[in-house]
Amino acid sequence: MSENPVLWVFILAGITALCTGLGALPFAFLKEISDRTLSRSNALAAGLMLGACFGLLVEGSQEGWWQTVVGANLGVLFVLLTARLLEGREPEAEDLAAANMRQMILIMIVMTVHSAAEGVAVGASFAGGVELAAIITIAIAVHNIPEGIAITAVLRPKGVSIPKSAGLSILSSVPQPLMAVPAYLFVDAMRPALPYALGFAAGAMVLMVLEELLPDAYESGRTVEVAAVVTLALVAMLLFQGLLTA
Amino acid sequence: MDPTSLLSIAVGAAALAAVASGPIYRLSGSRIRVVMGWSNALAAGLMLGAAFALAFEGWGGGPGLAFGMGALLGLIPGVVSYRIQGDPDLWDGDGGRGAEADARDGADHITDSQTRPYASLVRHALHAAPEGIAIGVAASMNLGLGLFLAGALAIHNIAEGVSLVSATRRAGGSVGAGATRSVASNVPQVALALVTFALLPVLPGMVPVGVGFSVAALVYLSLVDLLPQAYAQAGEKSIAIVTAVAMSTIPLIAGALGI
Repeated sequence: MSENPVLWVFILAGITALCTGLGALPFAFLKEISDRTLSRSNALAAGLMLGACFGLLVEGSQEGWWQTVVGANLGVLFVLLTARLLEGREPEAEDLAAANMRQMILIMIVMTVHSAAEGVAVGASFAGGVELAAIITIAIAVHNIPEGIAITAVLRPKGVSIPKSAGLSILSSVPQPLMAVPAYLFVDAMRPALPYALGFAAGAMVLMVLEELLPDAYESGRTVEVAAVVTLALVAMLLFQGLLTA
Repeated sequence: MDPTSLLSIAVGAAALAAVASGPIYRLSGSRIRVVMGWSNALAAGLMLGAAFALAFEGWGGGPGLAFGMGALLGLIPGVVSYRIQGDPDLWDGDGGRGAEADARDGADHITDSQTRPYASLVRHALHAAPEGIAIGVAASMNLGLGLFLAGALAIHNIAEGVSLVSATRRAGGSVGAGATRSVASNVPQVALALVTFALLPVLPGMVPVGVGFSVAALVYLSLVDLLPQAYAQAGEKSIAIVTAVAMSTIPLIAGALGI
């Protein structure tokens, strides 16, 4: 892995993108996914991502604690600014299926900005070590599955096939590996930037959990169940990290 | 000052913070809604951050089985408190969208059982118990961390107090009676913090269990109580920002405390 780290960063981030396509699979067996199942999926992803942030913050703090805090707040700011920038411009799932080449390029630009934080998280975590990269990859990969479910849920009633829905779901996350590689190269070349980058990834992931995943989970599920799933997933992620670093 | 006295004062102050619920309750509706939302978000962010610091300081990848068992135990008080209360808004089988969905839609910012102050008192007392254990565990690891957690829970206690004062007022009681109940509901927090702080050093084998218990309890209480209310009170974006920024300060706190 150490021989060609750039390739591994691309592969790991590529796995997270491929997992978005897994969101289409349940539709092969079910007509529709219940709100409660979607809520549990979002809660699971939220817990894993929060647990993964623990690893980012610990690793970042060991490199420099105040730099990690600055990076975390920059991550929060970045997600807010990109959301502001993309307000009203974010493509709907059906746009993906019906876009011509010019529209597709525009959609990809928008999605690249939208997915930048996830890509940076994978790239920066790889600079923090293979174990940390594995943890972040798993968390973001699981986070991508409900996104794939949401995209497929919109496309299926319009007659789009399951393989095409899976392909378009994957396409929506392709910017993640594209952003991960430059993020890794930047942090690898500028080692003092590592705590900032790890903090940035943690801040961005926490904000995504708090602004997207948790409200969605609460909206469509039981609060007590959401809280229990998030807590158990977070603890499981902590245990997994303990296992990896033991 | 010896650590036990310092911790007693800190936890007592956290419990007494509920007294502030009286004056805050008197603020006008729209202002109290946003203030309470941000207060809940701040408390949630600090509690989540403290849970991370506790996991790092007290467990740090140690015995996984004991930590996991403790975490499962840490979920029990929170889950049981809802069962005992029998809140139909949470257990009515419609996806748990009763009062909380109403609150989200702006019908009311107080989501606690509005006409059953004693049910609220029991529920808050059951919440306060794991919080007390968490303070005791944190303080036995690092006194500064225990005091920090007591501070975070003081903010949380104010918000809980307002909820209890509201429930008391709706049942025809006075603001003072509500504030008194708020303080009373936090007595288990003080008692269990001190008991845990005293016991853990003589039961070192229980440390990973205690840490797992505390981490899960803090995370669960933030997610079951604070964040859903906060979203309903002040909207998703501002709550996400306040919680994330509060949580992100934890490396700063950890650095200052030498964790």
